[in-house]
Amino acid sequence: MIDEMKYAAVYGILMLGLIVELLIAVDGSILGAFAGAAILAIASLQAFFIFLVYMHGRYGPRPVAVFAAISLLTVVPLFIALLYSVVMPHHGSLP
Amino acid sequence: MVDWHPLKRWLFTTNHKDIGILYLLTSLYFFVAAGLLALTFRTQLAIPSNTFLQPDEYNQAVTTHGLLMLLWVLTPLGAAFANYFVPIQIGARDMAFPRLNALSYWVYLASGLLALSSFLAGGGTADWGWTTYAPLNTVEFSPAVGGSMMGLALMLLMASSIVSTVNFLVTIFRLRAPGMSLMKLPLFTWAWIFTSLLMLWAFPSFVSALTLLISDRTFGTVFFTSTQGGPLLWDHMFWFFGHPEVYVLLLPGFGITGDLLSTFSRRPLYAKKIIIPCLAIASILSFTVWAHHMFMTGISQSLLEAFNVTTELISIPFAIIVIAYIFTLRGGSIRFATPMLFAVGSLGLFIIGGITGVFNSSVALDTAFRGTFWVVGHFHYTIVGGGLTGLFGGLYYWFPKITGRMYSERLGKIHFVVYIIGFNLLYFPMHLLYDMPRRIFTYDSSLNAGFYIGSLFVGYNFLITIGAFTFGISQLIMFANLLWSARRGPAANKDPWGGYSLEWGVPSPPPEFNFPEGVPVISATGVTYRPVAMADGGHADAGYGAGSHEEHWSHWPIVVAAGSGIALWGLLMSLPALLLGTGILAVAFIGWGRETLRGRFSEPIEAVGEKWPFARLENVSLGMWVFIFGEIAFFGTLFGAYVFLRMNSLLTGFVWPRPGEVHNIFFGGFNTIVLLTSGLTMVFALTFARRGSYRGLQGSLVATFALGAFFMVNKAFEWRELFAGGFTFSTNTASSIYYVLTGVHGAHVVAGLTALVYLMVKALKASSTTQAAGAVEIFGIYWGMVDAVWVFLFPLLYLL
Repeated sequence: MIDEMKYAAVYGILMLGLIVELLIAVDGSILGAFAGAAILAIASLQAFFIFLVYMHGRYGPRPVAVFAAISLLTVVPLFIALLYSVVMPHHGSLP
Repeated sequence: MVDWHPLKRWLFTTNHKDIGILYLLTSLYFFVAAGLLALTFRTQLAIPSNTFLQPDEYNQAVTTHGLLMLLWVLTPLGAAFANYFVPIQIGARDMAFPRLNALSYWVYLASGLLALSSFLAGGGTADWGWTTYAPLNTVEFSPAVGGSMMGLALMLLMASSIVSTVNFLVTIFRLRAPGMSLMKLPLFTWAWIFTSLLMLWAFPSFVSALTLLISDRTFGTVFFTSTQGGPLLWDHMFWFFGHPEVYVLLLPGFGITGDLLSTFSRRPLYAKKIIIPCLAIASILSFTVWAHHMFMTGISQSLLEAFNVTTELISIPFAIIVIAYIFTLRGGSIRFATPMLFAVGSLGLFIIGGITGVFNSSVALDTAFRGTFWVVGHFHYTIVGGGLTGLFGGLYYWFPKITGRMYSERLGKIHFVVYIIGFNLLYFPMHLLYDMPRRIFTYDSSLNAGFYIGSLFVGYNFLITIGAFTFGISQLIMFANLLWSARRGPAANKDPWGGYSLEWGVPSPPPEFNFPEGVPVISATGVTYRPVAMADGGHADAGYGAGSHEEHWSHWPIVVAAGSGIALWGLLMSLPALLLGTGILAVAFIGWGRETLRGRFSEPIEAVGEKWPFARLENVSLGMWVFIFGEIAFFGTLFGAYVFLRMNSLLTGFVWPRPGEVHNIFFGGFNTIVLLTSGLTMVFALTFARRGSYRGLQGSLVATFALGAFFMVNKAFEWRELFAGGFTFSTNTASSIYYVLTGVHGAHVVAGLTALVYLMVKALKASSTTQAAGAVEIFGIYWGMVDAVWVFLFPLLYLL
C-alpha cells in the first residue's frame, strides 16, 4: 500500500501544481513579472517528482540521477548561448 | 542446389564480429564513393576558370563528399572496430542487445543508400554544403527534392547511431568480465565510451535541427525563413551537434593510436590515468566551444570572448594527451610495423591540425581565416590526420585478428609513404591559400596563388589536386594489399604484435563466442580463463559454452531497415512506396515482437562480471535510461529553439500570441490531466505486476492505453480546430513551433501506445505477472518521460 500512497501523493502534487499554474496564467497580476518564472518553476518541480517517483522504480537513483543531471547540464550552454544571441546587442550583421 | 547458408548468415546475423565486418566493408564502400567525389571537384579546382563541373554539380559533389566522409565513413569505421573489438576487449561474448546491433547496421546501410539515391531524385541531391546552412537549405534556395531526401537520410542515420550508442554504453557498463574494472580497459574502449557519450548528447540535437528543417521543407513551417529564426537558429542548433561531432570523428582513431604506440614501443601507455580524465574534460568542453564556428555571424561580443576562451581551453587536454603519447615512446623498444607507422603519422598530422586550430580559436585571426581554404586545411589535418590515419593504423593492426592472415608488410609501408606524401601535398598548401574563399566552384587567375620552379608556375590548387590523386592512389595500394592478403596472406598467430588487450589472447579469427577457454578473469597477475561456475558462482552456467550461430539469427532487423528506407523514400517520391514501406515496417515490428514473445531469439548468456556503477540496473532498464538521456538532449534543443524564437520575437517586432488568444487554456489543462492520469495508472500497473494481481495489471495497462489514446484524440481535435481557425504550420513562428513540439511529443505518445499493445499481449501470455513486471517497469520509465516532457510543453505553449 505504501507504493500506491506514494504514487497517489505525487499525482496530487502534479494536479495541485497544474491548478496553481492555471491560476497564475489566468490572473498573472498575482505574481507580476515573476508569473512566467513561477509557472516554469512549478513545471520543473512536476518533472522532478515524475523523475523521482514515477520513473525510478526500485532502483538506487544515484548513478541514474547523476547521468540525468549531466544530460541536462549538456544543453545548458546551448540555452545560454541562444539567449545571449538574442538579448545581447549584435555587433555585426548576419551574413 | 545453391547453398544459401553463407548469404543468410550475413543477412540475419546478430553476432558483433559479423556486424563489425559489415560496418567495415560498408564504410570503406562509402569511403570510395566520397573519395571519388573529392577527386571530381578537385579536378574542377585544379586550374582557374575550369568548366569540368557546372556550379550546381560542384555544390552537390562537395556537399555529398563532406556528409558521406564525416557521417557515413569516419564514424562507422570507428563503429566497425568498436563492434568487433569492444566486446572482446571487455571480456564479453557479444553486445548487450545483439538484435538492436544488427538493426543499427542495417539502418545505417539504408540511410547511406537513401543519401546516394538522392542524386537520382530529380534536380540532384543537397547542394548547400555539409554544414547545411540556412537559408541555403530552404526550399527557396534548394528546391530539389533530393535535398529533403538527404535530410531524411541524415535523420535515419542519426537514429541508427543513437541506438548503437545505447547498446555500446550498456555493453561496456554491464558486460565487463570479472576483474575488468573501468581503469583496466584499453584506451580504444575508453575512447569509444567518450565517443558514445558525445553521440548520445550531440546527435539528438542534430535530429532536432533536422526535424525543424524537414518540417520547413515538407510542411511549410517557417523556422529558417523567418526573421525570428533564420540562419542564426540553424547555426546554433547545427554546431551544437557539429563540434562534438568533430571529437566523435577524432577520438576512436586517437584511442587506437594510443594503444598502437604502447604496443609497438613495448611499454605501457604513459600516464594512462591522466589521459582518461583528459579525454573526459575534452568531451565535456566539446559542448562549450561550438560558437567558434560562428564568430562571423554577428553574435554578441561577450559570446565571442567566452567561446574564444573555451576553444583555447580545449587544446590543453589534447596537448597533455599528445605529450603522454610522445613519452610512451621514450625508452621504448620501438618496432616500425605498418600500424605503428600510421600511429606515429597520425600523431604528427594531428599536432599540425591542433596548432592550426588554436589560430582559429582567436576571434581576430578567425575573422581573417573564416571561409577560406585555411579552415579546410586545418580540419582535414585534424579529422583525416588525427582520425582516419589512426583508424587505418587500427585496420592494419587488427587485420590479422579479423582474417587470421597477415598482410604484406612491404605494401603496407609503401601505402604509408604514398599516403603521407599525398596527404601533405593535398592539405598543406591549403594553409597557403588563406585568402582564397572555400565555397566557390571556380576562380580566376588573380586568385591562382602558387610558386615558380624556374619559369614554370605551379598553382597551389594544381598541387592540391595532384596531392588528392596521390592520396587516392595510396588507398588503392591498401585495398589491393588487404584483398590479396585476406585470401593468400600467411597465417597469423593469435598475437603477432605482442598486444596486451584481451583480443590477443583468443585465436585469430576469434571463435563464435570469443572465449573458448571460459570466462576471462582479470587480476593483477594477468588473465586466466575459468569455467563459468567458478567465475560467477554458477549464475550463468546454463548455455554459456553452448549455442550455435543460427540460434542468434534474426530476420527482422534487416526488414525494419528496408521498411524505413522505402517509407522515407516514398514519403518524398511515391505514395505506393510510402504505403509499402509502412506496411513492411508494421509487419517487421509484429514479427520482432512475436520472435521475442515466443522465445525464438536467444541472446548469448554473459558471465557475471564487473557492472559498476550500474550494478543495480538490468541491461534493458539501463538501455531505456540511456535512451532517455538522449531524449533530454533532443527535447532540450527543441526547447532551446522555442526560447530563441520567443525571445527574438521581441526584437523583430513579432507579437507572440498571448495566453488564451489562440489556444484554449482549459482544454490544454484538461488534456494535461488526462496524460498525467495515464502516468498514475502506469505506475499502478507496475505495483499490481509485482503483487501478482493479474486483473489489476491488465486493468491498469488498459486504462493507460485508453488515456493515452484519448490524449491523442483530443490533440487531433485541437489541431483540426486550430487549422480551421487559420493557425496553420506556416502562419508564423509561434504556430510552427507549436505544431513541431506537439507533433514530436505526439509521435512519442503513439510509439508508447504501440509498445503498450505489445506489453498487454506479453502480460496476457506471461505465466505470472511478476514475469511481466520487468517489461512494465521499463515501459513505465518511458511513459514517465513522455509525461515529464508534457509538463513543460503545456505551460510553454498554453500559459506563457
